[in-house]
Amino acid sequence: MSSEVDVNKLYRKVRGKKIFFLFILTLALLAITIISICIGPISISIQDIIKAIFGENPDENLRAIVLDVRIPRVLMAVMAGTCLSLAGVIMQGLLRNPLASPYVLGVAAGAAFGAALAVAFGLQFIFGEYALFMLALVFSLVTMFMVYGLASARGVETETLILAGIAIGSLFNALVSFLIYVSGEKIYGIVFWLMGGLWGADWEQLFIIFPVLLGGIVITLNCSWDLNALSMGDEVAMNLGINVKFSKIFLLTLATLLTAVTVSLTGTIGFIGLVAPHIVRIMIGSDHRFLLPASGLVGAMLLLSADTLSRMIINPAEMPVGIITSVIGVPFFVYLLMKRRKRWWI
Amino acid sequence: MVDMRLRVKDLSFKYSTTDVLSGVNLEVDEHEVASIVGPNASGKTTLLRCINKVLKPYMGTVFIDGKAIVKMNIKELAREVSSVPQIALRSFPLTVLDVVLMGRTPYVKWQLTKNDLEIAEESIKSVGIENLTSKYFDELSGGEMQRVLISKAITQEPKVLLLDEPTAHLDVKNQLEILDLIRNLARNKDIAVLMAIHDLNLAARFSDRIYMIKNGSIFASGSPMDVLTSENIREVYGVEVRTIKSEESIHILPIKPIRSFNQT
Amino acid sequence: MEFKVKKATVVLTAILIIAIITSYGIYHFLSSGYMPDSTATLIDGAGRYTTIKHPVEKVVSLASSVSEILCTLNASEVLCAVDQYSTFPPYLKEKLDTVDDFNVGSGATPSIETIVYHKPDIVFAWPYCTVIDEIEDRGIPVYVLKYPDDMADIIDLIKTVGYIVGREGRAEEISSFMTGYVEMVEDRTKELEQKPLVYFELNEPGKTGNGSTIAGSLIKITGGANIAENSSLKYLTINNEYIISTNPDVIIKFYYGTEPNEEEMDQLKEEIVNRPGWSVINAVKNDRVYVVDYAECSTSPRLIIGLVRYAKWIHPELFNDIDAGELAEYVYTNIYGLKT
Repeated sequence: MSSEVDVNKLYRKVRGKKIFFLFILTLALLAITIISICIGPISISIQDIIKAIFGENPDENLRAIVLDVRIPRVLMAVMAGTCLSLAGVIMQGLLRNPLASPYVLGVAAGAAFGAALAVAFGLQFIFGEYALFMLALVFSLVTMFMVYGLASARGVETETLILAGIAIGSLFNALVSFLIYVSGEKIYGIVFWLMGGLWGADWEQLFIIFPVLLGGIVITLNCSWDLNALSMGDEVAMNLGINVKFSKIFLLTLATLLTAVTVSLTGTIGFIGLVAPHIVRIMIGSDHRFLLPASGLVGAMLLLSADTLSRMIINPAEMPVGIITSVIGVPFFVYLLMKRRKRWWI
Repeated sequence: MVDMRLRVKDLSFKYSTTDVLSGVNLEVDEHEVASIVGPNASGKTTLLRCINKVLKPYMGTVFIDGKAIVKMNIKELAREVSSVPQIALRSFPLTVLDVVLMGRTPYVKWQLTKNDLEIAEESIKSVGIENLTSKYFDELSGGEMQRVLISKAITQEPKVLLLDEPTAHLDVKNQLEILDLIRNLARNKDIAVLMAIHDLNLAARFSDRIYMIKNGSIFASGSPMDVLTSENIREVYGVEVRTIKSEESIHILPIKPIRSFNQT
Repeated sequence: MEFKVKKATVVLTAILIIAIITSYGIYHFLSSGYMPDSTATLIDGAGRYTTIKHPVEKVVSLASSVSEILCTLNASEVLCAVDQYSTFPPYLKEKLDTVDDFNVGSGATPSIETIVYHKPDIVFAWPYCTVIDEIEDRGIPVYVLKYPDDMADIIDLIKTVGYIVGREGRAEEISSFMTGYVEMVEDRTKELEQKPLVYFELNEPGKTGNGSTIAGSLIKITGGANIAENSSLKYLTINNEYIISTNPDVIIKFYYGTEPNEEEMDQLKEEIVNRPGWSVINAVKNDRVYVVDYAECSTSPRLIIGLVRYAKWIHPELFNDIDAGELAEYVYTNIYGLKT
C-alpha cells in the first residue's frame, strides 16, 4: 500500500499516450482520405488529380469528377461520420447508456420524418432548403425529448430508454411511410434525394454541415469535463458543480442538432454513432477530452471507408452505404453483447 | 462567536405533501466527524441531499462557515462541500486516476495544472490508493471503490465532506479501515465530516457527535455516550438492546425487537 | 273427343320446346364463334398453368398496365375492380374515386374480401402480389404477369389480354399499329454506326437500368447506347463519377406524377442541369436533357409515344417528319377513345 506514486508523471505519460493515439488516428484518417480521393470507379492518376486540384488539367470531365464529385463526397463522409459519432458519444455519456445512439434512440427517424414532411408540403420551394433542416431539427428534438421524457417518467433505466427510442423511432418511420403513401409516388424522388446516402454530396451541403460540425466540436470539447462528470451519474455531477439540468438539455440538443443536419443531408446511416465511441472507449477509456475527438476521427474513418467500399464493390453500380456500415456494425454489436459480463454495461 | 463549519438550521423538506424532514438543527465543526443514525426511511439520505443542494429544502437554511448555501452557485458549493454517494455505480471504463482527477472539475476549464495534479497526488496518498491509480475503476472491489470515491471527494478540497453509508457492502476490516481513514482526514485536513450510517457500533466508535433521527426530526444529539443509550434506541428503533461501556467506546448488543402491541 | 292432356305429356312437350330453343341458342352461339362455358388453359407469365373461363367476363386487375390495356381493347366493362394505381384512362380514376368496391387497394396487398365479393373469372397480378395463393385458394384463377423486358413482351401482353377477354381483333389492330412504329424506327436506326450515349434516370438520383429494362430496350431500338447497358443488375444506382466520365449525349429523366405537370417536369430538368460537375456533360452542354412522363414508357400502348419521343431525342435528324405530339393525340383519340 505504500508504493510510491508520482501523479504528475503518470498523468503526463497517460496523456502523452492518448495524444499520440489521436495523432495516429489523424494520420490514418488523412491517409484514408487521400486513398479515397485517389481511388474510385474511374481510375484517375495521382498526377491528374493533383493537376485537377490546382486547376491545370485540360480534361474538364476529369476535373469535374475530382472537384465536384469525388472530393465533396469524401469530405461529406468524413464530416457526416464525425457528426454522428460525436452525437453518439454525447448521448451515451449523458444517458449513461452504452446502447444510446442517434439511430437507436429514434432521433434519426424523427429527423427523416421532419425532412419528409417538408417535402410532402413542398416547403423547400417556398422557404428554400433550410425548411428541411428546420423541420428535421424540430422533429428530431421532439423525438429526443419524447424518448427522454418517457424514460424519465419511469426512471431512466437502460431498458426503458432503448425501448422508448425504438418505439418512437418506429412511430416516425411509420409516419414517413404514411407520408409516402398519401403523397403518391411523386414524393419518392424527393425523399430519396434526401435519403440517398452520399451520392449527391456537393460543396453546398458541405457548407451547411461544416459550421455545425465545427461548432459541435468546439462546444463538446469545452463540455468534456461536464460530460465526464455526467457519465458518473447526475448526483455525482451535481456534486462536482455541474448544472445538471441545463447541461443535459443543452448537450442533448446539440447532439440532436448534429444528427438532424447529418440525416437531412445523407439520410439515416446506422451504427456509426453507436460503434465509433465504443471502439475508442476500449482503446483509450472514457475521458471525454480524448474520447470526443478520437470518436469523431474513428467515425469519420468508418463512414469514409464504408462509402469508398460502396463505390468500388460492384462498380459502376453502388451499394447503399447503410449495408456496409451495418455489415461492419453488426459483428461489433454482437461482440459488445458477448463481452457484456466483464465490463461496464449492465 | 465563530461560526461552525457546517450549520443546519430549522431545515424542513417535503416530497409533494409528505414531510420527510421537519425542523432539523445540526452542527459540525472542522476536525469533527458527525454521524446521522436512525432507522430506514427516517430521512438520513434526504438530509445529506439537502446539504449538497441536490434537493431544495422547503424551509430552513444550511450555512458553511456562516455563509448560506442558497447564496452560492452550484460550482462555488462544489468547492466547499463534496460528497461520496452510496456505491451503485455503473460507469464507462475510466481509470482510478481519471476518477480522482474528476474531483478537480469545479476548478478547471480544460487543462489540468501542476497544482491540480499535486492536489490529486496528495489525496491519493492520504487515502492510500497509490497502487490502484492505473486500474479501471469499474473493476475494483467495493472497499477499493469507496477509497477512490473518497479520494475524488478530497481532491475537491472541500470544507465539508458528506458520506452516505460509507461502510455499506464492506467487510469488517474494510469498514474499520475506511472509517479510520475518514476520521484521519477530518483531523488532518480541517474538514467537517457528516455521514449517514447504519451500524451503531461503528458510529459510536468513530463519531465525535451523533444525531439520532426519528421520522425526520432530531430525536437526540450529543456524544455517542449520551445519545446511544438503550432507552433512546428502544424509542427510535423499537429494539431492546444492552449497552456495554468500555474505555474507548460504547458497544450495543441487540437483544430482540419490541412488538408494537407489547408496548405499554 | 275429350281433349285430355296427361301431365307427362305437358312435361315432355315443355322439355322438347326448351331443348329446341336451347339447341338453337347453342347453334347461334357456335355460328357466331362464341363458345359458351368453354375454358382455356394458359401458361401465365410465371410459367404456371391457369385454367380460366374463356372468354372471361369479369376481371379484377391488380396491374394498372392491364387495366389500361383492357380499356384500349374497348373492354373496360369487364373490369369489376382495379388496384389503386389504375388511374388511366381518366374514367377509371373517376370510378376509383366514386365507386367503393371498385378499388382493391395496392397491387402488392389487395383486399381479398373485395376480390372475392366480385367473383371474377380472372385476376391479373404482378409477381410482387403477396396474396396470389390466397386468391387461388378461393377458386379464382390468377394470371401472374411477367415483368416486360422489351417492346416485344408488351405487344405479347396486349395480344394475350386480347385473347383472354375475346378481343383478339382489336388487340391485333393495336399491336400491328405499334409494331409498325417499332419497325419504322428500327429501320431508320439499324444502319447507324454512331450511337449517341444515353443515360436515363428513374426516381432517385443515379437510379437507372440495364439493357433488359423497358427504358433500356427503347434506347436500343431508337439507336442509342445506354451507359448501363451491360450492368449485371437490372436496376442499379450508378456511380456519379461514372456518369460524368462516360459523358452521355442525352439524358432522359423519368417523371412520376399522376398527371403530367409542366412546372414539376421543368423543376426536374433544372435539378439535373444544376448538379455539381454535370455542366461538363455533353447532354447538359448541348441542352439535351429531357423529362419523360413515366406513363409513356411503361407497359401499355402509350409506350409507342415514349418510343417516338426517345427516337426524336436521340436522333433528331432522322425523325424530323414525325411529330410526337400529333402521335400522342392520335393514340389518345383512336386507341384510348379519349377526346382531346
